[in-house]
Amino acid sequence: MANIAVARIKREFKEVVKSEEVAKCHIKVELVDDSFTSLRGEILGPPDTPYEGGTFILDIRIPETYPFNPPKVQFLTKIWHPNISSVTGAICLDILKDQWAAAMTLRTVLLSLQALLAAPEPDDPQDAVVARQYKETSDIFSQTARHWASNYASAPHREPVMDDKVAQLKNMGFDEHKARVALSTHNWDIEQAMENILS
Amino acid sequence: MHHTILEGPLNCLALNRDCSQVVVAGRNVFKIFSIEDQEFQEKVNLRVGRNINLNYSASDVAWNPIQDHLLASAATNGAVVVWDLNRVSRSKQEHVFNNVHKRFVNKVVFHVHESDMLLSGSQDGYMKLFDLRKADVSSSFHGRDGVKDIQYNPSHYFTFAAALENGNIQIWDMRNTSRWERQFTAHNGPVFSLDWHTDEKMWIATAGRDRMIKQQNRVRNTHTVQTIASVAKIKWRPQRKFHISSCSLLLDFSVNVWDIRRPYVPFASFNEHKDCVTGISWKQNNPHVFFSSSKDSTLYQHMFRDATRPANDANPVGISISVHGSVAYASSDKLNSSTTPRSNSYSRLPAVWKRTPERSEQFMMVTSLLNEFEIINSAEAVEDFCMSWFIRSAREYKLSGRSMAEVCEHNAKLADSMKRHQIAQTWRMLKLLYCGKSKKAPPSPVATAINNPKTEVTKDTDAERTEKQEVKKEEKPDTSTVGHGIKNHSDFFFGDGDVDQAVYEYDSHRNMQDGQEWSLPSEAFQPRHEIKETSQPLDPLSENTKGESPSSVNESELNSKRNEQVALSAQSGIKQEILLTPPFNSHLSPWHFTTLVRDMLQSYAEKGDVQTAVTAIIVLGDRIKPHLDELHIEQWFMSYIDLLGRFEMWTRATEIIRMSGHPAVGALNQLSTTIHTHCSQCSKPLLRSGWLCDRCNGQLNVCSVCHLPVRGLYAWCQGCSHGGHLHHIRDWLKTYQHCPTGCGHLCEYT
Repeated sequence: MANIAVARIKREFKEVVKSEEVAKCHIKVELVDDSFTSLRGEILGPPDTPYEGGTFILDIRIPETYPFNPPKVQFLTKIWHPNISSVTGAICLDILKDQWAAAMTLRTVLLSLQALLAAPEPDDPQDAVVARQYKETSDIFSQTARHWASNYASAPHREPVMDDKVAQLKNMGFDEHKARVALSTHNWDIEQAMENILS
Repeated sequence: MHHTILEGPLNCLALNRDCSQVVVAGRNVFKIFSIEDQEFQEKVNLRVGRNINLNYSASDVAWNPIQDHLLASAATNGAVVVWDLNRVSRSKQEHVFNNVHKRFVNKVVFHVHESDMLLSGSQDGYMKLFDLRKADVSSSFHGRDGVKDIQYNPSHYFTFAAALENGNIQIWDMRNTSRWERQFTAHNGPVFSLDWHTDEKMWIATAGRDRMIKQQNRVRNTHTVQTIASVAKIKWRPQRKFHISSCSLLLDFSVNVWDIRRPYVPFASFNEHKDCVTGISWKQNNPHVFFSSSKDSTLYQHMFRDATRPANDANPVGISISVHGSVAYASSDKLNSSTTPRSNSYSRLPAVWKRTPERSEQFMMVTSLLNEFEIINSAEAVEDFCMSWFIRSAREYKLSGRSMAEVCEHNAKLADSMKRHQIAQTWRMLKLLYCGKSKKAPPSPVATAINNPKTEVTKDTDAERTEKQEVKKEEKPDTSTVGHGIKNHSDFFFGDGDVDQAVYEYDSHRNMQDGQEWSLPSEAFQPRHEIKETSQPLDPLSENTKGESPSSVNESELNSKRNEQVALSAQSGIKQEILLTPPFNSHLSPWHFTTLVRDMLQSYAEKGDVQTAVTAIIVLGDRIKPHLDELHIEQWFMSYIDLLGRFEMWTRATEIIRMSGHPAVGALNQLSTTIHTHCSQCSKPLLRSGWLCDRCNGQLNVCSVCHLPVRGLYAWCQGCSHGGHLHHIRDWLKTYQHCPTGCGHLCEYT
């Protein structure tokens, strides 16, 4: 890897570690191996959102051409969000694509992602299903997002009704995650969800 | 007003309590005069005794305000001397405080109310308070820098102010010797003088080397007077709240009395002295009399009625033209009121209320009107006026990089396109003069026949000279067409007879301008150059008289010669027969056109078109430079550069400087450039060089790409002021158009 990328990442790593946000447990970053090419980030779900209290793990890969190209970031924790794929965790955020600027650092990227959780952009979606739900039935969206956050990101607020529905399908012998996806996709209509899984 | 002349320069003066006597002191003088109605009468000479040493010369002197017989002086060797006039012996020296100060004592001053308290201020930074009863120092104040002036606050028993060399004013309380009560920076550079206002308790005036008199109200600076030279001494005028008198340390030998509310014109000025004034002292409670001592060894008593009033001599009307053609016009409102009496407010009031304002009030009531006129219509005359031609030619003239012929042709075309035919002609002429030979159109039959380069040259130049004369004739600002100009002024060159001829010439020129190539000499004047007539006499003569006759003579003779030809060929009239009389083939040396070119450039410069002169010099280079006065060249260049600066064509100006080849002009580019920098994170201005910002402790000058400090070359976008390592910025801009910091600027890398 080019020298400049390593040097920069080292500095940015320190910056994140020293930053105020780490002190308040808002963001965190740790090494996966010693090479500084692959990092693990962690962000706290922002308050007053369905993600509040959840801990979301991110996979950060630093390209060799960094900082001329943005780091590749995706969610490892499953999340229900219009701009984040509920299947792969891929993120649709301009600064991770064409609006990347060299002035940005790991810290600012993590903070930007946190801000993205607080302010979804349904007109520029990564996950069309989620985006539609967000726009059409925002109540269901936030409940679903909260349900996902409580199940995958260990957020404190649970959605008992949805938990029950998932458990119901699980008891019928379906895979829990598949059941959850199907239910979420079909606005928690069990019939439709089952049809979807079986088809 | 009267004065007395002493035997040496005076450093200071002081009045006694009732202003009946004055003491003056200098290096070689120490005398007391009594003040009479018409003269000064010498009372005591203090410079007596067996061994007169430095203690007998003074840099400052003070008269005890309570006990009339006590004086104190600051000797130049650091001693403070007390004098008692009541001593019976001849020498009045009472006590000498030696070794109190390590350096020069600048000021001694008695306490306003206590006769036994004497304060001295010295260059060594200390102020010492003497108790005359004990004949010893009772307290010492350390001001941290040379003390230039001190004065007791007349309205506060314990307070005094000190003026420091570093520009600060310190207010001290006598009871606290450890530290000043208050300190503030009053001036840039040393403060030379300060004065408490006698009536306004908190007013203090200060003056210093930065040529300003400032009136401070506690810490706030309320009025500032601009002077023309460093101010040595200031004194408030008694009973006049806003008046202050000042004298200069150098250059200006007059005593000026200012009204601090009108900071640029002195209210009154006293110009009697012939060298710098060193001391001013107003007669107590009398605003009309004051005394001054000067380095010209004179002591003056000034009466206020003798003052000159600079404001009365000031021109009440001002006009200025901006580079873009706007005109600003300012005039005193008095001028307007005289024409429109209604605007005078007093005339409408009943007679009882009519009151002529006092002079000082009148002085303050001066107002003026400023009008600004902009050009809106674009008539041709106005276009000339607003100098758009200047801008365009400054931008588009080519001065180097190609052959001279091309350069000249380009510039000529440019001038043509702006309807400046005269300038165009000049460029074409220069081209012909200096590089026209090679490009000449088919030579005249005779020239070939003779095959003598010399004739060719003369013939050639002859033709060009006529053009030049035309050009000269065109040098009238109002010539709208070339022909018109020639008609008007042809007599100056040709005599009465050949108006027709001139017109003919002009026509031929015009034809040629229309033509594709500049081949004027051979075509235009071919008919006139009957070879038989010209070349024969030319040949021998040119050899004989070469370098002998000055070109001006040549010119006139050639002129007449040509006129004859014209007369002959045109067969026009009797008038021209006069012109036939000069010998046809008198002196025909090769034509030294350099002098003419020189004259032409000079004439351009004199009528204000330095652009043409300077650009021509640059293009001609060494062909013309040796013939011009160095000083002239410098002047022209400087004014052209100045003009370019006014039009904000800095790049052009730099190019001109670079191409000038003149040492003094070239030095302009050697001047250091100041770039003010500030921290990129907190915007604090950086006062010192270093790697960290003083305020936010952030690293300075980091590369925006790799976020490491840049050591060495910092590539820097002039648009958004972001940048970094050269190779990083280059790499970044290979893939992105935007600035690496994400500021949104589209940086350019070239």
